[in-house]
Parts: sequence; C-alpha cells; structure tokens
Amino acid sequence: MIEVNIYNAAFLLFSMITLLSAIGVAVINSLMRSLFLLIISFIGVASLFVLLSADFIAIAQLLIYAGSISILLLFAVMLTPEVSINNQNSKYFLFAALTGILFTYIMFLFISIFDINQLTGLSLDKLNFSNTIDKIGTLLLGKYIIAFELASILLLFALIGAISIVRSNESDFNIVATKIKGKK
Amino acid sequence: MIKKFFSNTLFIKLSIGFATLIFLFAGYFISKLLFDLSVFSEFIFNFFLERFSYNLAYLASSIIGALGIISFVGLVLLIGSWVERRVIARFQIRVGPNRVGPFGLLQPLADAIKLMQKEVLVPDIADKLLFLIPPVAIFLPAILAWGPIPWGPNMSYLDINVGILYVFAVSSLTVPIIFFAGWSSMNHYALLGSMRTVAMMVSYEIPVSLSLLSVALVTGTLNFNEIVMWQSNNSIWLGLFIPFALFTFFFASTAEINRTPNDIAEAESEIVAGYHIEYSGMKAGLFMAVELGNAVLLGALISSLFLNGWFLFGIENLVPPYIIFITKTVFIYLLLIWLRATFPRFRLDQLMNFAWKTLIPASIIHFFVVAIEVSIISNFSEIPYLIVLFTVINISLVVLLAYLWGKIFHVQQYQPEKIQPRFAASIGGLEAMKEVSSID
Repeated sequence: MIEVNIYNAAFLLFSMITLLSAIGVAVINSLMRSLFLLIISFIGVASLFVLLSADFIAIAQLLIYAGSISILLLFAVMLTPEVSINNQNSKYFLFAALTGILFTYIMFLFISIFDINQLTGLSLDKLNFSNTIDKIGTLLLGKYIIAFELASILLLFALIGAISIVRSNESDFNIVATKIKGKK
Repeated sequence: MIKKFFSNTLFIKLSIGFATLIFLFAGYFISKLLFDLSVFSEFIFNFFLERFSYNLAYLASSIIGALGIISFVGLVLLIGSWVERRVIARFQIRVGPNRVGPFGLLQPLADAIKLMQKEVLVPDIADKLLFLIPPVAIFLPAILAWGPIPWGPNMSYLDINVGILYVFAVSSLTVPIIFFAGWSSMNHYALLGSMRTVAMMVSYEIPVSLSLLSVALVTGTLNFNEIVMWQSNNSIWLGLFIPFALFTFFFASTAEINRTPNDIAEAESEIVAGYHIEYSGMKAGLFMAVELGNAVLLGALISSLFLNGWFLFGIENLVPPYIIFITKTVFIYLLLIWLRATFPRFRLDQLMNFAWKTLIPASIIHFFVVAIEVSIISNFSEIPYLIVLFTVINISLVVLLAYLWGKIFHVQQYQPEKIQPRFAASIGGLEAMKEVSSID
C-alpha cells in the first residue's frame, strides 16, 4: 500500500499528467496537438525525475527533450502540411496496438519487481544523496572519459556534416543569379 | 505675520528637510523590521508544523514563497509599462503618459481595463485549442525562472544545485510556446514571425549557455547563492572579471527575450506584428506583459550572476539586502530601456550572422581563455591579487577586441553622398532633376 504523503500525492499527479498526455499523443488526429501533448509529457517525466531527487537528469530532460527535441519535431511536422491538421487513421493500427500491448506487458513485468515505496525521493534522502551534479561531473570527466569524448566527437561530426550539407557553394549562387536574370 | 511666515521659502525648505528626515528614520526602522523576509515563511512553516503535519507545513510555506515572487512579478508588470513609457518619453523629449492619476501612475491599470474590454477575436480557420493556450502558457517559464534567484541571505525560493541550468532549461520552454502561437493562428505573417523567432532563439541559446558556462567555470558551482558568495569572498564582481561573458549574456539575452536591438520577432516594417498578430485584446496584452517581465528577469539574472547580487560595499548591513538586489535589477532594466530608446533594430540576417560567425566562435575562444586563467589561479593560489591582474587583462582585451572589430571589419563611418547638397540647394528645379537623374 502506498503511504499518504506529499511525495506520493505529487507522484500520482505528475504520473497522471505524463500518462494522459502520452495517451493523447497516440490518439489525437492533429499532429500539432499531439506534439503539444508530447511536450507536456516530457515535462511530466522531468517532474518525475525531480521527485526521485535526480536534479541534473530532470533539468537535462527539460533542456534536451522539452526544449530542443520538440523543436526538431516541430520542424519535421512542418514538412508534412497535408497530415499535420487532419491525420487519417493508419492501416497499421492492429500491429501498433499489438506492439504497444507487448511493450506495456514487458514494462509491467519490470516494474512489478520493485516496491514503489523504495523508489521515492524520501528513500534517497535517507541515503544523504542530495547533490548529483558534482558526482556526474567527476564521473564523466574521470571514469567515463572515453565515452564522453567519443560522444562529443560524434556531435562534432554531426555539426560539421550539417554545415557541409547546408553550406552553399559559389556556383549555386551563380545558377540562381542567372535564373533570376533570365526571368527578367 | 503668520501668513508671511508660511509663505517664506525658508519655511518650505525647512519643512521639506524635516519631512525627509522623518521619512528616512521611518524607512530605517521599517527596514530594520523587515530586514529578512524569510522569517515569514519560516513562521508559517513552524506554525503549521506545530498544529498539523509536515506535509501541510511544507505546502503552506512553499505557497507563501511562491505568492511573494508572483506578487513582485505582478507589481513589476503593473508599474513597468509606466516606467518604460515615461523614460522613453524623456529620451525622445516628450512628456509621456501623465493624465491618469498622479504622474500618470494609473495608466497601466487604465490600459489593462481597456484591453480587457476589447473583443477577443479568434480566427475562423485557427486551431482553436492551440490558439487559446500560448498567451497563458508563456507566463509559466517567465515566472518559474524567478525560482532560484537569490533575493538576499536566506531568501531564495529554490536553493538548488543546478540553478543556472534550471533557469536556462525553463526559459528554453518559451520557444515551442511561441511556435504554437504562430502556427495556430493560421496566418502567414504569424507563421513567418514565429519561425524567425524560433530560429533566432535557438541560435542565441548557444552564446547564452557558453557565457553561463564560463561563469560556472570560474565559480565552480551552478548554485546562485554560491555564485553570489564567491563574488563577495573574492571581493570582485564577475562582470568585471569576465566582461566578455557579461556582454555575450546581455546581448544574446536581449535576442532571447525580444528586446530592441534584437526584437525582430515583431519587426513591424517587415512582418506585421510577428507571432502575435492574430491575438487581440488582453491576449496580445499578455504577450506584451511577458516581454516586460522577461526584461526584469534578465535584470535579476545579471545582477545576481555578474553584479554580486545583494552585496554592495557593506551597505547590505544597513539597508535590507533585497532592496539592493531590486535596485540593481531596476538599473539593468533602465539600461534595457536606454538601449530601446537609442538603437535601431538589426536585420534578421545581420543578427544570425553575428550569432554564428562572431559571437559563438568568440565566446568559445573566451571560454578557453577563462579556463586557462582559472587553472592558473587555482594552481598559484599563494600569489596575491592574481584575480585583479586577470581582471585588468580581461577588460583591456575586451576593449582592444571591440576597437579592432570596429576598425578591421565592416563598421564604416557614415559619409553623406555627394548629390545630397546639390539636390537640396535646387529643390524643385527641372535642371536639378535632370542632373540628378543623369548621375544614375
């Protein structure tokens, strides 16, 4: 049985927000509305991390998912003007439902192993584990330095690749200029 | 005799002086009484803890603290528009709003009532649900970001270890809200304006984060209180120690909050009113209000990160510290108004070029320089005044770089064209027209 305290009340509230908006993402026809709900569910996940007193991961969730990935998704949806307002029902509904049910079952198996009362912020407070950002920093630049550097090199490659794709050559300018002149 | 005495200018001066003295004494005693506002929330916490449970006490004290912040923000929103209009009027040699109430102080209230009376139009093809949410939702980041601001000793609402990151993360939530405001209007101008704003905000988040990163590097923490204490312990303002970070943060934040040199979100000459063109009445007013609140929030951030927060050369022992903090905040806000009254607006391509080609590389190099300086300071801690030396070096480097940037690159002095005086001399003449057209 779940104890009645402020942590568990907040947990119920935030998990309800997260789950309802996540269901809305899948159900609603308008892609933009479902994106809006997706952002709300990202924020809900961030608040669940706050309840686990994982402050850095909560902020990273807000910053990366709700602030940046959502913008990327917005730009992606903008490229599909036909379906963004009135999305038709997919013919793969059955497969999607089956996959969803299977995934939920596996997740339920995982979750049922743990006791909920052991996983709240209160139990972490007892361990005197209040400050995560120092530990994450020392681990990232100490024990896991190679993974950290590899990730940063990957991001650098992605950045250079994006620039080299977007970058316009001088010849492109010339082509455009001749086209404009020809129209005149 | 008595009438003559009262009409004497000396009497008026004396009475004014006396009233000022009384006012100062009263202010001093009141400030002694209200030196630390955190006693209120502590009192409420203990009051509820004795009578009820811990959970209720936690809830009540947190609600009281939040109400304090919200009431300050609401006061700022009420009085800020009056301040802005009056100050800009002074810059432009006008009077400004002075009819409603004493000195026109009730003008914002009159504006709000007028805006509420206006009909709220919703476009027929707009996405009705998404159209209604943004004017309200845009307030959430603007108020949530006030959380970790240190108002004084013992007086910060969220004393968290990820303070800077928190403010940065919460303020990045404005971007999708602005996008939804523009998209749901189903208006080309609104969509274009919101796309411009999103592109600009996303690209200016990088210099903001780099400047905040150098602040975190110098102080070794992300906690606002510890940053303020670091500055007072080393008796240096971070704005002086890393002036380029201050400049980057200030300039890029004006782009983030859509203030004038960088307010291309609502460049009336290019796109009609930006992302909130379809909003009318109080909804448009809410967008304006958020802009103003964000400007004051920027003032609070700069004064706590770069201007030593609630410390001011020992005056914080006499005056309540939060008064000093608010004074610094208002100073930065007045600086923003000054900028708005002085500078024209940048074009979009100029802004983006400045962000990607100048500001981001420069702040990356600046980050390396700061890292080297910090490592030198931490390795040679026995040498005194090392921080002061680096402060002088940093300031002179920034001044030199600004001079060189203006000298080498595209900043040219304005030279009037040669045909101008001729055209003015013979205005209206046929000969002059022929001459002018033959030049081209």
